[in-house]
Amino acid sequence: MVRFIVRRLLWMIPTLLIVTFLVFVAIRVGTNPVAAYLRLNPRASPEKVAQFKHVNGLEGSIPNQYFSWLRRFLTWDWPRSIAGNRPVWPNLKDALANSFVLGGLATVVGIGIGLVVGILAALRQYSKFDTAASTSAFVGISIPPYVSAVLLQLLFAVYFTRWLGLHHPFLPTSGVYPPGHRGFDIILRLKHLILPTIVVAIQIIAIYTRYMRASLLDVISSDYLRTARAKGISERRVIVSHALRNALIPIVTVATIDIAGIVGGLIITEGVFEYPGAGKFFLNAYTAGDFPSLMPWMVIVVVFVVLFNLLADVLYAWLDPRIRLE
Amino acid sequence: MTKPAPAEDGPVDESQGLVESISPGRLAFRRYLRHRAALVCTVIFLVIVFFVVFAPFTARFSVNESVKLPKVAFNSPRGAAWFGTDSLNRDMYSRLLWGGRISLFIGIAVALFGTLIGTIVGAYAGYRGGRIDDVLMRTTDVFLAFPFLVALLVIRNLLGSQHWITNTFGDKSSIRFMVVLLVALSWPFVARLVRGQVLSLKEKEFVESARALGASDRRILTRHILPNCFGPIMVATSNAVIAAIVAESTLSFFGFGIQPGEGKTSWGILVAEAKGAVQSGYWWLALFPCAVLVVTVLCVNFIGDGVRDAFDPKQSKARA
Repeated sequence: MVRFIVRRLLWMIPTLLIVTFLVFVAIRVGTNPVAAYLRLNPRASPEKVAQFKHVNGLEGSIPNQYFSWLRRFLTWDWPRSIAGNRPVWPNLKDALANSFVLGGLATVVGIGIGLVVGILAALRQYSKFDTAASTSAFVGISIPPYVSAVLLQLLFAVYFTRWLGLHHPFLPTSGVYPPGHRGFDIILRLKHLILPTIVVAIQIIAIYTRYMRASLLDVISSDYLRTARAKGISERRVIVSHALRNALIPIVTVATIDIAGIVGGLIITEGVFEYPGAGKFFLNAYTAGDFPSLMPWMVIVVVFVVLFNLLADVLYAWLDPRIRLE
Repeated sequence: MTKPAPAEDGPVDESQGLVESISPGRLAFRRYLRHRAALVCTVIFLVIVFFVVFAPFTARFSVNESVKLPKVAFNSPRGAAWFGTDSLNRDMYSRLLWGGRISLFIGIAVALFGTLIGTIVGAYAGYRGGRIDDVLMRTTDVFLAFPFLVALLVIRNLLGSQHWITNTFGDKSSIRFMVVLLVALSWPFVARLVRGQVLSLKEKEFVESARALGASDRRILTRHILPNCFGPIMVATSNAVIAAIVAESTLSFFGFGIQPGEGKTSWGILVAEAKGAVQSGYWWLALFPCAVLVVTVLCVNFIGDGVRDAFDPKQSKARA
């Protein structure tokens, strides 16, 4: 197992080099940093532009530019952002922390509810509850996050406030704190998290309800479950220690591989709710054509996806002793 | 391709004591008709398509026409404007129909071209294997590593910076550019799916027997393998329709969408305008575009589900 992990970690290096090179080319060609710089500094003199190119390593052939970028990236000498001319890492770090809070909360809530609903639906296949759960899950995956976000904002922030005759919005619709607020306040923070969490969680609940239901139904119709029942153990033990344990194995892999989907939901949700997370960071950087901010963001996403894929394989082997990693 | 129908599906012809033979296509069609949700959704979807296609007759106003009402903007739903009016007092119901023409056009065009390219490349890659197969799989792996919106935005800038593309299809805010962009992102997924199907089908006995009879590769692929992929390809097409409609509205929502000009609109643009209507409480501007978008996506989803069940009835029991 350790050898497998080490080998996979070593394989990550060429993978990351190739993917970051492709991303570098795509963004370097697609969003012209010099044009973005000139857009923000329209009266920059030719010397200033030349200096900007030099500082950001935008001279020479594309592979050369990539290696000069890579050297600076690895030696923690990141170019400053075009928009605002600030160091990238402090902003990115805060954004990532905010996203971890939102993404983590939504994932825990979403997977928790999704698994429970999926299990209950599978145990009572074709019951009214099953039909309702399956149909709602189907509707849930068909609703784009911004649609649910807009409708929730309308209901909870605008109409609830009106109906209850409040002076402040019933639930806030943007940011992490009200404007002008300083310091940490857990109640306010949670209030700002409620709507974005619901929006991200709806998707996760819908996906996991479907997966869990399908996976458990698969196990329930298997031979070893019939054997377990034939041995005469209680139905409760059959379900909990035989069926559920096995049904969760495929779910774990899905949970770890689905990380790109959750990041996608976060970007959209953070965009709608003006939540200063990594998704909003990406949207801002993209809109400004801010090349020095976009690249580290991309690298972090790729590293995450690759690491989670590795985690999926390791967990899979750990949970299912029939699988050998070599 | 014809094979005797299973007894449960084929009505027994009593007079002759024989089982009526039905083609797999008709068999699938019968199963589809039995999938009630899919059937209801097909009807709803066809009604939406009918209203949208015949917008010149079904819409009450033209796309950029103001309704004459006492209030000059933001009238709530009423007899003169069923779904209310927007900031320029334009009728929401009519604009939804006009916008649907652009959205459905994008969805269907992307699905057609994406499926066509994806099927050809995927079938070739799956059948031949080798270099093209590796390139296809690795390329889609890279795409899948990123959230769809990120891939969409990065490719949008990449294609938009190529002058031969913008000169041929129009700039980043044109409808044709949007179709090209979405086709570029959707065909690899169809190709991946078709490749998987072809890979498993080419080892089957019926392919071997065709080869033993001296059939050419091309004949085997087009007459034996691809017809058996029809179900999954149809599902991929319906997924591509949804993905394209949703992607168009996502891009519009964040301000990177199409700008057809002259007051023309799309569902994406209307949903994007809903964002600005929320704080003022103009619920009709948010509710109706969102509802139309969700109902359409839901219907196409259910249709795809029904098609999958119809072509692969074994799978339907355990799947959600």
